[in-house]
Amino acid sequence: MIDVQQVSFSIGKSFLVKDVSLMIPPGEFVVIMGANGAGKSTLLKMMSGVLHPTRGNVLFKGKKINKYKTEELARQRAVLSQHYHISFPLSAREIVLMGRYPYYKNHPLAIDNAIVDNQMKKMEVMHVSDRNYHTLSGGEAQKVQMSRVLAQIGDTSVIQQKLLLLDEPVSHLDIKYQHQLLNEAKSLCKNQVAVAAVLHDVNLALKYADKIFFMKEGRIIQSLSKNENITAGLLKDIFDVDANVFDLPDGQGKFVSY
Amino acid sequence: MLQPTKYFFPALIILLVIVLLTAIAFGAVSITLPDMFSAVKHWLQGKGASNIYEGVFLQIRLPRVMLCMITGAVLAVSGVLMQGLFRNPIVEPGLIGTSAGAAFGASVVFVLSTGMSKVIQQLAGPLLVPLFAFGGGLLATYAVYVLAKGTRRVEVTTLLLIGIAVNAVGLSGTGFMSYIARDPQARSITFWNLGTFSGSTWMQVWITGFVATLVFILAIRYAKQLNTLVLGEEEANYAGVDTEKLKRKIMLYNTAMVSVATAFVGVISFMGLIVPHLMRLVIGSDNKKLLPASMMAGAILLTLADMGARLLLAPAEIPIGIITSLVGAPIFIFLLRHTNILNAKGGGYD
Repeated sequence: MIDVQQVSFSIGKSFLVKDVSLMIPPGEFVVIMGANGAGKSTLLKMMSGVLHPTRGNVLFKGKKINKYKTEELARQRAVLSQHYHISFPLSAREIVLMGRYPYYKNHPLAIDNAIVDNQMKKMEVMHVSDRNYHTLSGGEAQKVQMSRVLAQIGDTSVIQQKLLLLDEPVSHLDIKYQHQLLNEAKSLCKNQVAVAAVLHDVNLALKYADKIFFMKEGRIIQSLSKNENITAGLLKDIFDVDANVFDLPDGQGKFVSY
Repeated sequence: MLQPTKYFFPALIILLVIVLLTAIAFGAVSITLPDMFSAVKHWLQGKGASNIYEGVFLQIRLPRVMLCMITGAVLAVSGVLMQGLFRNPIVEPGLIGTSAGAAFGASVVFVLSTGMSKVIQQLAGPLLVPLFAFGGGLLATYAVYVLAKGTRRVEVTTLLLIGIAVNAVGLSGTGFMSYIARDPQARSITFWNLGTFSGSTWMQVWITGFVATLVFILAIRYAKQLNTLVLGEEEANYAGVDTEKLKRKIMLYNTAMVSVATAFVGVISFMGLIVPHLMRLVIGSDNKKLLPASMMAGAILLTLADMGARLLLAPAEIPIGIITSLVGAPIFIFLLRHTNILNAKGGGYD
């Protein structure tokens, strides 16, 4: 579905991302991890098509991603950014409806409104629907933004090869909603949506990812598939912390403590 | 706050009609409703005005009030467009050089046209000031846009800062023109910089009205795209909006509309700032509602201001820009200090 080929991104002489290649097939959940400034967000932006690599190509469904029309691309991939700064007072629902903008011309159709309601219910933000976005808590705001991004993916119950990019999607959420959000993203994979998420919590990544890419200084230095085991040595190398890796009691993988 | 009652738009329309009739009725000569009806009847029958009241109504009052309403709508809509584009509620149409450029263009005509040949003066006649103002506004805005363009993308912050710089150049140009001008010319410049609707003609109404209608129709089609800019430029892009194209188009429409209006009536400050702000408080910031609401509110408020300009010191006339600033600035400061949006969590506007 998305094929990142030898991409680099540099500003002046310093490389933010260097010679990165990765591929995400439909239905796969990929997590990108790394220390601050490792180039994760830059990589995600290149995968989204909004940032053009200095070298290398990003192919989306076999076609260069910058060859897509902006609106055409918006119907096939959605992005949740790290931060939002809403410049004018709008209601939560007005924000979520923006996810449907690429699909209708002037007035939202019944299906658009239904999808908006549905995604807001899933993220449990229906009760703040008419509230001014500026009065929402950090967590509520993040759930509203996720609803918007899910609305942009569309009717999530049908099979569709789309791409969902999430940059630190759970940074403001409590434990329950961290899992709820990632479960939601994971359930999209069943219907052929490919997901790439930047996460900081190793245990969340181990639980949800089909594959984890570890970045350091702009490069992917290690990838970890579902059946491979994480090691304390790798965590030391990536995050510069001394970690202990435990087996989960029911044999469902590993657990990391720092 | 975000859900206006269903009565809001009908109320605005009724208010618009009341203000229209009131503004026509009051002035140096009072005009009654029967006068208006018979004048319209005679005009439709192809006859001229049958008495002085009908004449004043058809040739002086009506074009003036119409031009005033259109200009008010233009300034307010332009404010909405620019605020949406720059993601900032304190942006005015004049901020990207349009007004300053137009003012400079007009001042050039005021000072230098006396030196031009009689032929040119005869040919261009009353259109000389509007033409130069339009050219100046277009040139200044284009300069801002090109200078801000830099590498490939137009950054909003850069655009605003360059707008300030180009405005300064325009203002000093106008200042220089005033400096070398003789007294009556300098007075013309001053008057034009403060705006006035006296001497409005039907031709001005048709030209401004045509451009304004065209731009309103186009602008409302971009309401959705402008909304997404609220999320941020990159995020608007993710949501399917070609932000570079949008910026170019909105800038072009806005410049055309503001230059034309400014060219005929001069610089009128604060309308573009205060009207959208008021409407945001009442109906929220969805551009689909905000654009038509600001359009009507702008027409209403500027017409009221023009009535003030005509009647407060009658028979003398105050430049309308003085009224809009004098009334507008305190209201704006009051709004800024007393709105709960501003104190809301997350800071509201910033």
